[in-house]
Amino acid sequence: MLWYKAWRESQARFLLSALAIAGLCAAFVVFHREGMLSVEDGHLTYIGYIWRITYKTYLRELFAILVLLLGVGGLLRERAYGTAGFTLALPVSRLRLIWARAGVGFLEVAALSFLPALVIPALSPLVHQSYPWTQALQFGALWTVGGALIFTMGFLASVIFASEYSAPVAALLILLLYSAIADLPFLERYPVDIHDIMSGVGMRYFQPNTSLLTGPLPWTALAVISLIACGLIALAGRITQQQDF
Amino acid sequence: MSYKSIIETHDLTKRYGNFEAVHALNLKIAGPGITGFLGRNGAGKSTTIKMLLDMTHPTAGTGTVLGRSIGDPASNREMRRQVAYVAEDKQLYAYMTVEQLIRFTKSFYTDWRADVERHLLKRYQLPMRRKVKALSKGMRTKLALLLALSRRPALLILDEPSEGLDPVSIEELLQSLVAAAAEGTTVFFSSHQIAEVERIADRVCIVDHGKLAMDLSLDDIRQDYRRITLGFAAQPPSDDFHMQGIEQIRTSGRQVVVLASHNADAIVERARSLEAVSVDVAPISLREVFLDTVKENDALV
Amino acid sequence: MNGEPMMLWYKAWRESRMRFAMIAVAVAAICVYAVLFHDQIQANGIPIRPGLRDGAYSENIYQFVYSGTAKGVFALLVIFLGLGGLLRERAHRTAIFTLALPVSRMRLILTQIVVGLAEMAALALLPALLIPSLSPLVHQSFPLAEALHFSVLWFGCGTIIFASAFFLSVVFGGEYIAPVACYIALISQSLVAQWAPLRPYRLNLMWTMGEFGTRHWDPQHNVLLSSPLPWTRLLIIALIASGLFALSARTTQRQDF
Repeated sequence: MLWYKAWRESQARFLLSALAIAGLCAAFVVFHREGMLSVEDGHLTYIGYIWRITYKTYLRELFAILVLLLGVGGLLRERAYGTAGFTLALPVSRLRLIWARAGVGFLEVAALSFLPALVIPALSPLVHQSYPWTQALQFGALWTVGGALIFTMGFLASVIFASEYSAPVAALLILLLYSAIADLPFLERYPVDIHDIMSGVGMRYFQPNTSLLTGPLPWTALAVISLIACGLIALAGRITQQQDF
Repeated sequence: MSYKSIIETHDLTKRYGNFEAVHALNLKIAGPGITGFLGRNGAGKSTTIKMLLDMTHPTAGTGTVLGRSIGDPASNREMRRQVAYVAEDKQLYAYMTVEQLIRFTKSFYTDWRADVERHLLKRYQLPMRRKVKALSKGMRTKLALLLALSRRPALLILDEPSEGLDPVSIEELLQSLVAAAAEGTTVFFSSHQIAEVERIADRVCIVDHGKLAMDLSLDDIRQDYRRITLGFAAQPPSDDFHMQGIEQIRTSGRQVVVLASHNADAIVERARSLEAVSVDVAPISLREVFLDTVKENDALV
Repeated sequence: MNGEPMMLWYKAWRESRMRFAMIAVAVAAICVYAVLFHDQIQANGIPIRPGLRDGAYSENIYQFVYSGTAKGVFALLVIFLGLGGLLRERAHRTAIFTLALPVSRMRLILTQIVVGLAEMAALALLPALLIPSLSPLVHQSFPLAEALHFSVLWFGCGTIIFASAFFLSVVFGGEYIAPVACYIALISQSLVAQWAPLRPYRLNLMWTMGEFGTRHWDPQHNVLLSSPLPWTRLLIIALIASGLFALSARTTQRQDF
């Protein structure tokens, strides 16, 4: 039931995000000749076009913001609404509340991550194109892990900032700061930029000529990122355990 | 502006989908004085108050407060200058301090009384520099009351004003309300604490299932209302008690309980003529009137 | 009633000041960084538009601030200035207190709008205050007129972002539905504007803010110059924003609390 509560509290945001992502993916496929970047532009192949518009730029940027907003909420918000007392009176630990919300959030991030993988390869034949399922699923895996890290930024911010809108603003600024730091020259050689990991830009497992993921995914890096995400949730749990309500 | 009733509604109705929160309510509250507004949870008390103050739009019907139409936003706004309202929730701006909130609120009203403000601050022991979010529920209630009582409004509307207060503070509140009424303010307050209402109110309106079930003065209850308990040797007659003054009849086995608003002597005479073996006439409290009224409504519904 | 108008403004300011401060610090930090570290930015940056000249200070500032990071931060975060309002107060159960005050709902809305727009104007002006004044510290200069030019563009285009967020927060009671919807709308707008039939009309808000493709190089002064302000476009944006504000006010007036 804790998971049900977490789901109910994020359901509207998740469904709206899912609708938007699915809709945009469908639009990218249908309007691949006339759209923002089109196959007509710069002699892009269809695969190159899908990669640019979905996995590199617009959809990835939107995805990052949406999963960050999925992460905000929690007990500090409940305190503002006056329901924290009810929740904390339940015979469950604060850590359990935290992990239930995080667990539901991670599942939602995964669902959003794989949505392009469902829509794009399925719809492409309708416009006489094709996009490999394997590519889409691999990007889904990259987005799941990258999205989980971004989710935890929103999650942690909402544990620290009680104010309704200060938390997401802070989280967005943290994400931007992180992106700026990851772009610093001395860090460029390391796979620390989550956006590059999610899009493949500059990564060994991505072939820019063909816009395809080649070779094995960076499972070690993904595992490390997953651990960091879990660590941030654990930090959020620790902070929550020490807060007064 | 002159007006006869402080609050007057005509068939005031509020529907939420298929659910009717308030049904054809016809209130008439004269002032000055103290009127209690009683009802069970979900009876429609808060919805009625919100309609009077243009927070909720009526589905049907009209009303006036201080002679001004409740349905006209501009008119309602002018009316609110003379109305002080304490909501049931008593939630105030959490980010402001007590001092800031007082300064904020007083800027909207010309009838603010700094002397009363100072007096209540001292009596309620409210810390001026503390943020509202750091106040206990009781302190927040006191602050909400201070914001209302530091004025001299023509009408004071309170929704569950004593909720969250300790007994001493409740006593102070009741005295404040009596003092306000003595100064010419009409007090209209809803409460579940019938004893409090009984102590200070002049009139009581009971609303149930969104409808006005009873509107009577407490003096009438004290002087005229009676509970007449009749015992019969055999099955009591059911059709012979249609008399003036009978508000309710309940039959249980060989006992008949009558709630009479007046004419008790005649009712007793009638009972004796029907061979009642026992007759007991007792004064009735507001609580009993309320409980009988809502139970009667339940039977009808 | 003497302080009544001030108090409504004070309330709107108190309810948004933390967000405003955070955004202001972020925009200011980006501007300061752009000026003080312009060499490193130039060394590592990728030109947004091919053909822009490398090495020019004004180009670096343009790329990093006016068409890059600062612009993105401004556009993304101005959404949060537009959020709040009576539906949020209802969730916090203070709406009744606010609505009991002898002020119209229209006045409450207008106050929130004006304070929000004032905050947005301040944010839009921040680069114009910082960049021209800090540039001499690194032995460079950036024309104030150029900086103000972009402030107008940011404010003008930001108005519709703010108005959209404001309207969505009047319609959607959920805490975070409005910003989610607003971000979806913002990204979708960029995409739709680039749909082939619409492309000639240059409807992309972010491109208008950053003057993509309309700037030209002044070799005499070694500076990148803007085109004249697109007043017609800004007027249309202002009209649409006003429409959204009017719709917000009408919706609020009809709502039950």
